[in-house]
Amino acid sequence: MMKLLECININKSFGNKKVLKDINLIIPRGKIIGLLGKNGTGKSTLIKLINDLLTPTSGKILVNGKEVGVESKKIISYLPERTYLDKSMTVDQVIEYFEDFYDNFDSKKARKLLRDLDLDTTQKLSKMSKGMQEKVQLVLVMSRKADLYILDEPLGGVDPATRDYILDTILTNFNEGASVIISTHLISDVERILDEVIFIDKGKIILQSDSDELRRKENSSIDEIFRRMFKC
Amino acid sequence: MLKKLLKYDLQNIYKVLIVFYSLSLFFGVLTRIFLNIDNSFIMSIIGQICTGTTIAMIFNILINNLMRLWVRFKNNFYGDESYLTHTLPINKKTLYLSKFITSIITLFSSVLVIVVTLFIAYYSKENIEFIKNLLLPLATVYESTVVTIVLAFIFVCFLEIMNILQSGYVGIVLGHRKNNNKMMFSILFGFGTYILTQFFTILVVFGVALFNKDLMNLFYTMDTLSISTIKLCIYLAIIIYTLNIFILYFVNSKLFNKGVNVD
Amino acid sequence: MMFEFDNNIPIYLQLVEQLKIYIISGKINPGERLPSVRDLALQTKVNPNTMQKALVELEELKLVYTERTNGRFVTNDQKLIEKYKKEYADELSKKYFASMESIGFNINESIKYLKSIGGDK
Repeated sequence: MMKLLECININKSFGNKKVLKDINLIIPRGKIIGLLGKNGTGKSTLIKLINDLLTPTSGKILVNGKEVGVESKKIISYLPERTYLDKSMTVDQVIEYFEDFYDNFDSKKARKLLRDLDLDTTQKLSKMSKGMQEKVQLVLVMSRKADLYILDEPLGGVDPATRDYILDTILTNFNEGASVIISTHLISDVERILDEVIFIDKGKIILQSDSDELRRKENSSIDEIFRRMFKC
Repeated sequence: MLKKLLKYDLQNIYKVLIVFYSLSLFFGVLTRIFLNIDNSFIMSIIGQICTGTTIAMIFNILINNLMRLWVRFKNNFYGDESYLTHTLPINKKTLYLSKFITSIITLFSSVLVIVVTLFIAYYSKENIEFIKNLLLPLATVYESTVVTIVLAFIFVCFLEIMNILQSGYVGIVLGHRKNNNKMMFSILFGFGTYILTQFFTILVVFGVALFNKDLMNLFYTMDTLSISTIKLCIYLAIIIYTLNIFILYFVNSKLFNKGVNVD
Repeated sequence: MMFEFDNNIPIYLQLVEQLKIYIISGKINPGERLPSVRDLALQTKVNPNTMQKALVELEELKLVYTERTNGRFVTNDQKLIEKYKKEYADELSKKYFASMESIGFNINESIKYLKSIGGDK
């Protein structure tokens, strides 16, 4: 079977600053993968490259064997770190927007999940709290029947209850057989659900491993192992 | 997909423009009413105020239309919303084409509303006679009608505004290839592009002038041009501006298609 | 089914352990059909792949078996369940005695102590 995602010798510089160095990466199908690293180590840059928001300085990214483009965007559902919807739109309008542009968007599912949030869908996004906007975004992203979900820091700065809601929503809704990449620096919160972990530091991939395998080998939690490896 | 993109682009621009269109037409009507009630001092003062407001509204339409198009272009392609725009399963050329078509449609309708407003506010037999008399000599030489000349004039205005708008787009695209001071570079490159198109225009006119003595006078003498030369100038202006618009469109579309680097 | 997890130990091993307890304690009856992997994963809030791995492990222990089309079932083999129950009880008891020993109780004293606190009930 063709690899879902493959990064070949990716380098990315901003001016003279090298942000990613020789990234080689293969993401298999049907796995939940943690992209773990401290802030500012290149996690978001890598994710933005995969989503065509940045162009690599050198190297290639293949999704289903094809370079990033219209076809890859059809099967990747991406949750950025920031709020990225037109805030002058109502939730209903945003749902319509997603329906218009994504063939694999399940609006029934989205509406059901939004109902669980007790949300007035005729409300404009600009009238909602940032936390609520982020939940709406998560719901929209998880309501696509995608092959690959890429979630950039979905747990950044949320309270424990919301954190549980987010993890549950991810776990309950990702398309069967799809892969999920979760980038985060809050390892202990997510490590339970990860099949695989990728450690990234200073723009390089340090380690890619099965998470239970790693726990067994090191006799400690992923969080512990990470802390030991990257002592501040 | 282009249709769907256009739907959202047009909706976004017209949402606000409609308000200005209505205001502009409203004040156009008021102006007409107050200027025609009687010739008393008070009425003429109110009429003057209405005239001022109508003119202000007309400029408002133009400036708002331009600014809104630029701001949406920047927000959609380089701001927070770029995270949505660029991850839609649509290629970049189509994204850009939608902005281009939206620009043409909205600017054209704005110019139209402005003309209608002016017509409502000032249409009278005397004014029309005045314009007719002013343009008649031109029209006779052109072997065309006054209406055609007025339309040609409006069309040149429209092309010029389009040119300004597109220079702004080029500026935004080029400015965002820089790592720092994107805003400043965008404005700088925008102006630069506009000046370049003007320079190109003069160059082409000069090129044509090499084969046309009358036109050459434009560059060497201060004499008033013969009417046939003015005619040539207007033709040239339409052709060159249209050319400018398409050149900028293709340059920008190419640049944009190479990929973006958003913050 | 709600499990608590210790992040220091492979999650699938903990799942095997917990499911084993469910079976030997009779919380899931012998011969009972198990929910699908995905449902089990959702209930316990773990990754479906991890749950799958745990179930395969349980199959190797013969505590569950798969019927090709109908899904997974808990074994009907009472003897086997008893065997695992005894193993688990042994393990717990050994742990108890080891801990008591570390604070100075020998086996007899430990048993006596157990009886003394259990006697009230």
